[in-house]
Amino acid sequence: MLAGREAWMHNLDEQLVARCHAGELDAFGQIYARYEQQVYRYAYRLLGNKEDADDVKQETFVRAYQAIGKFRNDSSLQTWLLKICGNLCRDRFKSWENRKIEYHAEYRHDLACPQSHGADPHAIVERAERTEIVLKALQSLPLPQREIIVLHDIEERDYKEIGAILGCTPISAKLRLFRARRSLQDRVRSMLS
Amino acid sequence: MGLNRDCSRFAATLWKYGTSEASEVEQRWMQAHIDRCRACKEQADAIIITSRELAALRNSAVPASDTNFQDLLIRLAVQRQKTSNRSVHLRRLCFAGTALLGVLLCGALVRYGLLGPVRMASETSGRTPSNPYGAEAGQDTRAPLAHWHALNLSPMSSQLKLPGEVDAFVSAQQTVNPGHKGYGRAKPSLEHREIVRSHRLAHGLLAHGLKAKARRLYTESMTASKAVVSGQPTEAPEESDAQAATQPCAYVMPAVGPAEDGGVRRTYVMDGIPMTTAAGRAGSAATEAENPAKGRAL
Repeated sequence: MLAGREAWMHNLDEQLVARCHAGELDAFGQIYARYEQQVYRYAYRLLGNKEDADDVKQETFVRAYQAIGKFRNDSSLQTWLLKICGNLCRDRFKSWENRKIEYHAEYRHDLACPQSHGADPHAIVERAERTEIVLKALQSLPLPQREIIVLHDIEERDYKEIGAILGCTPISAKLRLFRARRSLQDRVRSMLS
Repeated sequence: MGLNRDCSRFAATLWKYGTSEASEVEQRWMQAHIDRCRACKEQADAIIITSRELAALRNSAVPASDTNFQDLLIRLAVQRQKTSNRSVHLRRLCFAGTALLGVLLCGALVRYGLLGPVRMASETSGRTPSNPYGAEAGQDTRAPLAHWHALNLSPMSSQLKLPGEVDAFVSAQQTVNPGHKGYGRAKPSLEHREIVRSHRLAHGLLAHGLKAKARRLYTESMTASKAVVSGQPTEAPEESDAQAATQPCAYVMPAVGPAEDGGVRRTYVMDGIPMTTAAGRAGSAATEAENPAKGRAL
C-alpha cells in the first residue's frame, strides 16, 4: 500500500517535471506547494532561524526553477530539493564563518514541548531544561553531523535517501550517523553533569 | 567519564537500548551491565534524554513560513532582471575590450606595419653610447660646457678606457682654474679652453668612429694639460712632410702664443698642413679647428 502510494507520488512528480520542461509555470507552482514545507523545515532545523530558513527555502526553489531543465528523475524530486537546500545551508554557514559572524540558533523553546499543558509544573520545567540542553548540544555539533542527525532522527529519512542528499553511500551515511550520535550524546552527558 | 575496556562491548548497543530499539535479550543484557557500571548508566541516561528530545522535535511543528509562491515569482523576476543586467554589462565590457584591442592593433600596425619602426626619442635626438651628444656628420659636436662638466668625461673615458688620464685631466682643470666650480659659472682661462676644446674634438672624432685618432688627440691634450699644470709653455711639434704624411692623427694640439696685433696666435697641424689663427675669440676657436679651411695657411 505504502509502496503503491510512493509510486503514485513519483509518477505525479515526473508529470509535474515534464510539464515544467514544457514551460508551465503552474506545474512549478504545484511542486512548490507539495515540497515547500519539507524544504522549509529542513532549513529551519539546520539553521535554527526562521528568517534564514525562509530565505533559503525561496532560494532553493529559485535554483530549482533555473535547473529543472537538467533534472532527469534519477532521484526523487524531494531528495533533489533537499540536496539543493542542504548545499545552500552549507554555503550560508561558510559565508558566516568567512565573515566571522557568530551564529546563534533561535529554536523556539515552546515548540520543543508542545504537549505541556495539564502536566506537573515541576516536570514541565525539568523537561524544558532537558530540551534546552539537547538543542544546545545539537547546535554545537558541526554542520555535517547536525545534517545527518536532522535527516535521520528528526526527518526520519532512510540511509539511501540520506546518502542521495548528502552525496555519500548508505553505509557511509550509517557510519556518519553513529559518529554524530556519539558526539551528541557526549555533549548532552557533559551538559547534564 | 569514558567507557572502560569491558564497556566498549556494550557501546554499539547502547543507543539501541536508549531508544528502545534493542531486542529483549539485548535489553536484559544491557540492563544487567548498566546496573553495575556507573559510566554506562550515565551514557544510557544521556542517550535516553537525547532520543526523547529528538523524537519530540520530530513531532513538533516549526514556525510558519512567511513567504509563498507569489514571493517566489517576484524573486524570480528580480533574478531575471539581474541576469539581464549582467548580460548587458558583459556585452558592454566585451565591446569596450574589442574596441581597445582594435586601437592597440591599429597602433601596432602603424608602428611596425605601415610606417616602419618608429624611432625612439634617444634615436631621434641622435644620442648613442658612442655619440652621447647626438651629433650628426658635419655638425658641430660641441656640447654645452655645463653638460660636459656634468658628464665628468665619463662617456669618453669609458670609450677610450683611460680613467687615470681622465682623473689627471680633471685635476689639471682644477689646477689651471682653481676658483672654477663649473664650466658654466666662471670664464675659464685660455689654456683651459684649449684643453677642453681638444677633448671636445677628440670626442667628436670618437662619435664618427675615428677611435685611433681620438685617442691620439686625447693623449696630446693630456700632455698639454700636464704642461699647463707644470707651467712649461707648449710647443707645436716640428714634423717633416714625410712624417706628416704617415701621421695617423690628422690634428695636432695647437701651440698658443702672442699675436702681432696683441691677440692670441694659435698654430695647428691638420692632416700634415700647419695652420694658424690670430684671433683670441673663444667662441670661434672650435670652429676654426674643426674647419681648417677657415684658417690661414702659412
